[in-house]
Amino acid sequence: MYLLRLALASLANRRFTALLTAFAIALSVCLLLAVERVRTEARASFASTISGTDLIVGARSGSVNLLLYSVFRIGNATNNIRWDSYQHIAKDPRVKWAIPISLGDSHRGYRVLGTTGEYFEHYQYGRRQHLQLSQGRPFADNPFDVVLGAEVAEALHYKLGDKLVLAHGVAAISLVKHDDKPFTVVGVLQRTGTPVDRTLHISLAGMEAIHIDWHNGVPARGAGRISAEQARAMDLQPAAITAFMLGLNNKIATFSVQREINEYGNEPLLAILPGVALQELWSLMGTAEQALFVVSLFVVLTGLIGMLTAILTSLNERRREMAILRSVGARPWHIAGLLVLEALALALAGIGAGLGLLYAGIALAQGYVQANYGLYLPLAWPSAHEWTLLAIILGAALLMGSVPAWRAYRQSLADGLSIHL
Amino acid sequence: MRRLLLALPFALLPLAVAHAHDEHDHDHGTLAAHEHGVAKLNVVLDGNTLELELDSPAMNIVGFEHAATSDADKAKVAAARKQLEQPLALFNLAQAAGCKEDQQALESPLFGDAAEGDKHEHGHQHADINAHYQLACSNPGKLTQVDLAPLFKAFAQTQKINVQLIGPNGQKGLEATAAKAVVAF
Repeated sequence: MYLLRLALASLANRRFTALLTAFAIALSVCLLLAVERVRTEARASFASTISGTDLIVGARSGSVNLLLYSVFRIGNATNNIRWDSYQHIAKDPRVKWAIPISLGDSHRGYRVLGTTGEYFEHYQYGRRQHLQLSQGRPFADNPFDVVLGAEVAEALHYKLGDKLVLAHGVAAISLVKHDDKPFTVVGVLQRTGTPVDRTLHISLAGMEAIHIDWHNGVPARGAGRISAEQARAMDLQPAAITAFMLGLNNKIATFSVQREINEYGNEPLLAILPGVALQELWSLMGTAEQALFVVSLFVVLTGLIGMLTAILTSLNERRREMAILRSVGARPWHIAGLLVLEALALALAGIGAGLGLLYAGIALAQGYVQANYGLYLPLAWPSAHEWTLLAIILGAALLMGSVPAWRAYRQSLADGLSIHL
Repeated sequence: MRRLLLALPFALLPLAVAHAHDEHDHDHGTLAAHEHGVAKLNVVLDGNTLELELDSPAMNIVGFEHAATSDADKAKVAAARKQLEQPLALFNLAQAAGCKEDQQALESPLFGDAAEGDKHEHGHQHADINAHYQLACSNPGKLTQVDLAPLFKAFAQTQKINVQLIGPNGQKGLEATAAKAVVAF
């Protein structure tokens, strides 16, 4: 006990260096834990980009590809699927709800999603949260209504009642615009932290209406043009959609419905389990996640080596301190113990301060991170895994502390009191 | 990548897979992939019902894929069938969950399913074994994982099982191997 007191008193005597060393360790511990938390949470939030959907169905391609375009709005479908196929499957008694989606247009770099009212009712993300409107209402009978994702509304400064023109294709700068048929903003969704925020939602009828007078991929000219008013009166039933999402009455049926869709004879379709495809996609990104972890491990190592340097360099200055201790009866192992305890105290202070920094950071940034990145960082006690990491850091600190301890042990034997300064 | 390339010739070969129930099975119909050593397992737990669906190339289970003609082959098929009829021995489930077998269906050209008979004249063919089990668990809350170790042990030629899992925590996809045979819900 008196050794610990001595160690602390000695540290207090060199408080500036000691504080800096502890701070370096604190920062590295904080970084390691923060990376760990963000990593775990990013994985969880990634996995909950879409929830409550049992199957996603699209043209036959790969499961990751289908997931990317239907959920993340990245890339494009290889093919469309027929409206008949959608109807056929949506009518199956095992299917509780079906959300058709139609992609392909954009507005200033944001993707446009054609869908039905079911989308607002059944689409779920996160911990089975439903989409909420922050302003206005979902689109109704008027085919030229548009509901904006939170980020679209914020970035482009749109408010209810604004008119906007959609562009054909998904390039950020598009040459062909649907400028004869402007859309009116009727609703803005609440922020979800998912790709929904970056999407403009229109009805399938709206999607059909803006392309109704197109032939061979270009808009009609002159007399062939159909105005927005004329389009409104026409039959706006689409012939094809890009994909659809299914919710089933009974989860048990998932695999049999999936198999039936995959073996559907009239059209090559692919049904995927979004949860499984999400994991597949995450495993592709797992390497980056590992790299991040390794980097933060090296930062901790740097912090600890900083501590080792600080203690080792102080050894020479403290020859007199050691000598005095020896003269009053301290044995060499006392001196060694003193230095190990010093390292322990520094590491403990560093870990404590690091945890403090982490929690202060989480408390401050929690709301912002949740709103902007959809990451929920819980203000929870360290998990078992985190405790293990902390224990490893402490162990490494002790191991490093034993290096100067060993030197001091040897020196204090040799130096004794006959030291020449 | 190498594994994918290895699978390619199998995927390209004309396959006779166990889709006897497929109503759209005409000549230009699609062909399911077939990779020796790799099986597929679908697990779904909803309420008290646990369903397990194992789809494996016959090679993994009996060591050949032709119809059994010799007595030795017939004995192998019969032995495999016997093992497949005991799902509770193949899938190690927590005792406390109280799972009991409700229904099972085994399907394979090797078991002499009539509908597959005509396909055997095409020379080199692949055959799958499909086992479907429905279990009722009195205490599904205790069922947190499925241990596939007995399955890997019983059918040693199975190197990997691609598992699709649906449980109380949602959907999961993972790969099980003999060394990592436990899949958690």
